[in-house]
Amino acid sequence: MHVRKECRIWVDDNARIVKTQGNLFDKELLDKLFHVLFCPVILSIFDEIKKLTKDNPGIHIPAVNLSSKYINGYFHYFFKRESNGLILWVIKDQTAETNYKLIRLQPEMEKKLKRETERFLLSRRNCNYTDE
Amino acid sequence: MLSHKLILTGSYGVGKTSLFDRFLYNKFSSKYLTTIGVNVDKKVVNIDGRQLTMIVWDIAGEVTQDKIPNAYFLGASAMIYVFDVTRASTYEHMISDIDFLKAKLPKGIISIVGNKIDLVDEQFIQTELKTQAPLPWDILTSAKTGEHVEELFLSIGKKLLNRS
Ligand SMILES: Nc1nc2c(ncn2[C@@H]2O[C@H](COP(=O)(O)OP(=O)(O)OP(=O)(O)O)[C@@H](O)[C@H]2O)c(=O)[nH]1
Ligand SMILES: [Mg+2]
Repeated sequence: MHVRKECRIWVDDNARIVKTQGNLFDKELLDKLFHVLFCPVILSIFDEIKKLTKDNPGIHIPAVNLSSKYINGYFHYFFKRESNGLILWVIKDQTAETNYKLIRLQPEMEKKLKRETERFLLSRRNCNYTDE
Repeated sequence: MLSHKLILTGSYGVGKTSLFDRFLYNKFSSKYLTTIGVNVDKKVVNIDGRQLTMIVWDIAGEVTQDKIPNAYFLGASAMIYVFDVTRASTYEHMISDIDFLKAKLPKGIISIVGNKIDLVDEQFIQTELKTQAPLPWDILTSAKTGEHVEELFLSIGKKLLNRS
């Protein structure tokens, strides 16, 4: 059983954290996380994220139907975003150094970007050929 | 010391994170890791003997800028609107996007930037891009080669310093 501590965060005009109290994680981590808080999904899981420890197997938040897995020292979160398909979040577990990392991988967007760029480059090449 | 918040905006995949990484850490990766939420970091720049802290926000790309959460604009002084010179889909909403951003930051500086110029030639820029871009750009950059990246940020810094 873990005891819930009161958590407070003070922010300045630039939404940067100036002081924190009663958090599981240090100011540096919160500083990084805070900027994604405005993203509603993260906002909704933030309280859960704060509760995580390295012994935690992962969390499930029914409100956003977010599932997570703890694999090889990483918390993996999966959720859907409007029209953009699956997003995979990886939160690196380096609890010992209290230094977490958020990464978003979005294979579908990657494909889309590649396709658009290649189409352009190909069309340029064709038009150079016809110029010759 | 004076500090100003600057936001990188524009569609997905245009190179916001790459410009951020180039300016702040002088690095580039060809791997595409789309941003969720925001990356924030700061850099102290020296402009004509004066110091300025630039707090740069690299946000997740949206096809149209009205999707950006309102809270992101809090306390911002400048915005960089990035488009990808190779993808018309990234500049087709430019007029409405810029109108929207101007309304969000009436007193802010907005810079229009075409990125990835390493992928095109001068002829393309002078003919096709010039006629297709809905508004004139302020600067063309390549996060990959670093071309004009420093100039972009420093010119904004200069405007910010001259205003205050
Ligand atoms: N050739 C070339 N590729 C670039 C340049 N800038 C960015 N890229 C590539 O374009 C892709 C997308 O770049 P990002 O910087 O992640 O784009 P972004 O605007 O941050 O995208 P989101 O975070 O999804 O909004 C990556 O594969 C980059 O390597 C450039 O100047 N030249
Ligand atoms: Mg990005």
